[in-house]
Formats: sequence, structure tokens, C-alpha cells
Amino acid sequence: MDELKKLHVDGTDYQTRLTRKYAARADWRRPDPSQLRSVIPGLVLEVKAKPGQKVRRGDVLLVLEAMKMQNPVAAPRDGVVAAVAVTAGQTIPKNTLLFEFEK
Amino acid sequence: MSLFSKIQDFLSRTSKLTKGGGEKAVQKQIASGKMTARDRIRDLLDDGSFHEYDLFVEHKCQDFGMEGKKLPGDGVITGTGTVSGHPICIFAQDFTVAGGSLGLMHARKITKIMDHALKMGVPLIGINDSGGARIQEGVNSLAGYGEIFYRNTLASGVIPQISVILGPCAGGAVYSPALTDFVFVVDKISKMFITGPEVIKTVLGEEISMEDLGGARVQAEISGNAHFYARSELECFEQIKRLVSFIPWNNRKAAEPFPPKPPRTKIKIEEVVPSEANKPFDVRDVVRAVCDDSDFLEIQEHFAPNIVIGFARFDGQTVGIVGNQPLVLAGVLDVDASDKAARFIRLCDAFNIPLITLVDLPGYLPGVDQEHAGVIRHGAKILYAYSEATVPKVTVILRKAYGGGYIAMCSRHLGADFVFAWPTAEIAVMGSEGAANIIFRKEIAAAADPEAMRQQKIQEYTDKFANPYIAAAEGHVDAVIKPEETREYLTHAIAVSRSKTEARPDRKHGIPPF
Repeated sequence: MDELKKLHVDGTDYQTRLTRKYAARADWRRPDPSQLRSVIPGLVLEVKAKPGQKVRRGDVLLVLEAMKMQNPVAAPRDGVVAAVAVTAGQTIPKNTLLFEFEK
Repeated sequence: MSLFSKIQDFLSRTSKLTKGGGEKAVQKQIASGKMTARDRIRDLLDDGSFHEYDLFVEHKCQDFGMEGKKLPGDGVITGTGTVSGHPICIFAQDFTVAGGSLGLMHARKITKIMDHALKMGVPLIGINDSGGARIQEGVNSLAGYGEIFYRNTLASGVIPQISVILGPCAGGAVYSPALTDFVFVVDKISKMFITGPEVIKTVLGEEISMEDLGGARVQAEISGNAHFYARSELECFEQIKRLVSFIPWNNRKAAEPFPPKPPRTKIKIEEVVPSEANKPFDVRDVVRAVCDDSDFLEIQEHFAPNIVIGFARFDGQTVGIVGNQPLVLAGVLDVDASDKAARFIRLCDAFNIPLITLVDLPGYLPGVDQEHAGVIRHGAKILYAYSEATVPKVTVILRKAYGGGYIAMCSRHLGADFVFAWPTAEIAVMGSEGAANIIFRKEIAAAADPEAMRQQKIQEYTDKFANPYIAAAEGHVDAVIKPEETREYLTHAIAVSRSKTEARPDRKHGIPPF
């Protein structure tokens, strides 16, 4: 991290070192409303929805075991499930794609 | 019993108790690379100065087979002594006794020595090396933690509180160090976390080592929970001894003065600091070139290194230094740097330590991550801390002081007592390039050669605004000074501010943007 890099602030390029924390920061991505992602890591206990299935907002699509609880993961909106990205028994990290909905 | 046998009895009791958890446990402690609690106290305190209390305290737990168990000192050693000649109160958890676990009497010993430190107005040093709550004692051990946290809070800003993490410090236990002023960690020995790797693995399925989760380096560099990082326990003790020499015993006193000394390193400031505002330099070189004996004790060296904080002396008097660090992230303010500086400013204000601020920053760090992490709320802490502080506040603007960053870094407008600027200072809303791009956007776009026009306008703006004289013309800067005069001006400013008084409206307390 001792190497000088460019950092752009208000129209000027500064020559400076970066920190490990700065270099490791995550890029921001616009949330995709057609995707449902995990908000917590855990174990997929049960997948309740199939591709092509019509769901209503609030329908439980999946049960995720995390924090010693069986957490229902519900559909955030009405729609049709386009793809299921996980299977029962799978341990997943946070922000894993669970379902895609038809656009 | 004869007098002789009474003495013999006393000696045999004491000798049993001072052996801690016994030979085997002590060997295990040493094999794991750690010193014993007693050796730690011996090496940290001045020779022969330690006086121990409550050695004969015993636990009263009657459950889960605890009724027959003897725990020497109930797993913690408490007492008073001196460090570099300064009186202190100290407790050291003894991991060899039931893993240093905290039961009711263990906590009572700690709160007793804390009460003593507060009453006597002397610093408190806590050496943490404990497996956590003594589960057999149930809610009583939780009560013990709570009573420690309560006293940490009452003592905050009254006596300096130092936490030394020399072993595990996990779960609720971490909140005592978190409430104190200075946290020391040692590589491969200190481990701090709320939930350990085991729990994270069972509950979340994520695997991480103890070191990567809450080791010394992580606490010093990433989380910012630690203020001092050392490679060995002995190095850690040397750091504590140095720190104690810079701070006062309590908030009614000033730090003990030292014999004044000129800087050791004669650095020509003009050679250290490039005049181009986009080129880096190490602001610590400037600090060492101006302070007594070039002796600068940096705090939180590895966390948010884009701002530098620490203690130095001028004319023998302790001062707190806050400096933007152009060498790292161009010296910008961000969430971490704001938290780091704001807390230090409040610490200096609480303990009557004058503040010197060295300014060279382009502003705040741009980025979605910063905005979403609350750089508004965190950045506001610096404004709050500087405005609130009534200790002498002296500011030197070295180069860039742009926009909100200029205001935040102890400007005249936040109550600086003295504001000096080098001739290289640029006090403006933003850098020349950015400003020219906005002000002359139409002219640049309409020009036959837009790039040439842009360069011309940047030059125009630089000539007009990139200097200290417009701010000086308004009285926002008190004096434009030659870099080589900096030490003299700072020493003088601190000297004439010694009897500064500043009234604030009556209130229970303010509401800083925590």
C-alpha cells in the first residue's frame, strides 16, 4: 500500500497512498428488482417455489436457517418465478442470488 | 497461636494465593506466549511500587461444584503503584485462575479499584485476559460486567482509562475497553470480538480465524477499536509508560510539564512539503520538525491513516496534534478519519490538553460507500468536537484547505484561537481545476480550443484565489507565517493561551452526532 496512486477529488488528481480498507471497499450496484438475494448467510432448508410459478407478495419462497432460526424468505412482490438459484441443503453466504423473477 | 506461628500462617496463605492457578496453569500461560498477570504488573509498574489489595477475596458461588473450589484472588489482581513516577490504579485479570473468568467477587475487586481511582483522581489501567463471564455464577457475573461499564462511563473524561488486551476479551467483556480512552493490543495475543469464530460458523456458516476476526492487527487497522499496537507485551508496556508521561492524572490537572527541548531532527519544512497541492508529503515530518525533542506519540497509527493524531510537547507542555495526512488518501476526511479525530479532540478537551491542527486536505472522500456509511453524521462529529472544545485551539494551514474540509479543520469559524497560514496555503471552496470547470463552463465549451481555455481559466483562478491572502484580508487567518517560524509561533500561541477561559451555555450535556 506504500505505492503512490491517483485519487480524484473535486477535479484534481492527487498522488497518494491508498489504505487496505479503501482498496477493499465494495462497488455499489443498483439493486435489480427482478432478483431476490439473501440478506444473511445460512443453510437453505427448503425451497418452496418452482420456476414458472406465479407468486403473490408475501408468499414464502424459501426457508433459510440462520441465527438458530428458521427464517421464511418471502416474495417481495407479485410475479412469476423465472429461475431458482439455490437448492435445499446448500450453505450460502450473504447477498447470494436466490430467485429471479420474470421481468 | 504465637506471634511467630501467626506470621508463618500469614506467609503460607499469601504464598499460596500469589501462585495464581498453580504451576501447571502458569506453564500453560507461558507456553501460549503470554506473561503471567503478576509479571505483567511487575514489568509495567515502576520497580517495587506495586501494592496489592483484596488478595484474600473469595467467591461465594455454591452451584455446579463451585462450592469447594478455591480461586486465588478470584482471578484478578488489583492494586496501586506508579508508572513513570505517576500514581495509578491497576487491575490485571489472571488467566491461570479459572481462565480469568469474571464472577461477582472478581468484578467487585475491579469496581472497588475503579472507585478508588476515581476518588483519588489517578489513571486506571486494566489488563484484560479472560475467558469471559463465569457461567456458574449466572446473572451475578453479568451484573458484575454492568457495574464495571457503569463506572467506566462515570469515570470517562474524569480520569484517563487505559485498557490493555493481553489475551481473549470476548462477548460483553469487550465493552469495558470500548468505553475507555486508550486500548492497547499485542500481535498474536490480543483477541477481541462480540461473537467468536465458533458461533459465527454454527450460526452463519461463515468460517474465519480468530486472528482475522478480531486479532490485534484487525483491531488496530480495520475496526479502530485499538489505539496502540505492539509486537510484544514488553513493547506494549513501553508504549503505556510513554503515554502516561503525556497525560494528566485527572481532568482537574494539566499534564506534568517536561524540560523544554528543541526539535532533535532539523528538517527543513520547505524541503519536506512540495508546493504543488497534489503531491504528497508525510505530515508527521512537519510535526517532528516543530515539537520538543521531535518526540511525537502517535495514536491509532494504523487506523484511518489519512488523519494523524497524537501527543507532542511545546516548551515542555503537552499538546494534542491533529493533522491531515496528504500521504494517505490525499488527507481526505472520511467516516473513519472523522470518528478518529473527533474522539481525540474530545479527549484533549476533557483533559486540558491544547489542540494544534495542521491542515492540508482536499475535502471529504467521494463515494457511494461513504455516503451510505453516513459520512454526513460521522463528519459532523469533527465540527461538533472542535466547536465544543474550550482548550486553546491553534490551527496552521499548510497547503490546501478546501470547502467543508477547511471549515471542519478547526477554522476560525469553529472557534480557533489562532489561525496561521503558510504562504503555500490555498483557502478556497475547492481546488482550482474543479472551480474553473464550474465557473467558466460556458467559456470553456464555447472556446475554439477548449483545453487551452480551461488551462487559462485554471491559472486565472489559481492566481486569484489559491492563496492565504483573501482569508487573511477577512481576518479568518491571523498571520501568514514562514514555515521556519512555525515552532516559534506555536510555542508562543500555547504560552499566551495558558489561562484561557471560555464560557459555554449551561446544559446537562450536548447531543453529539454519535
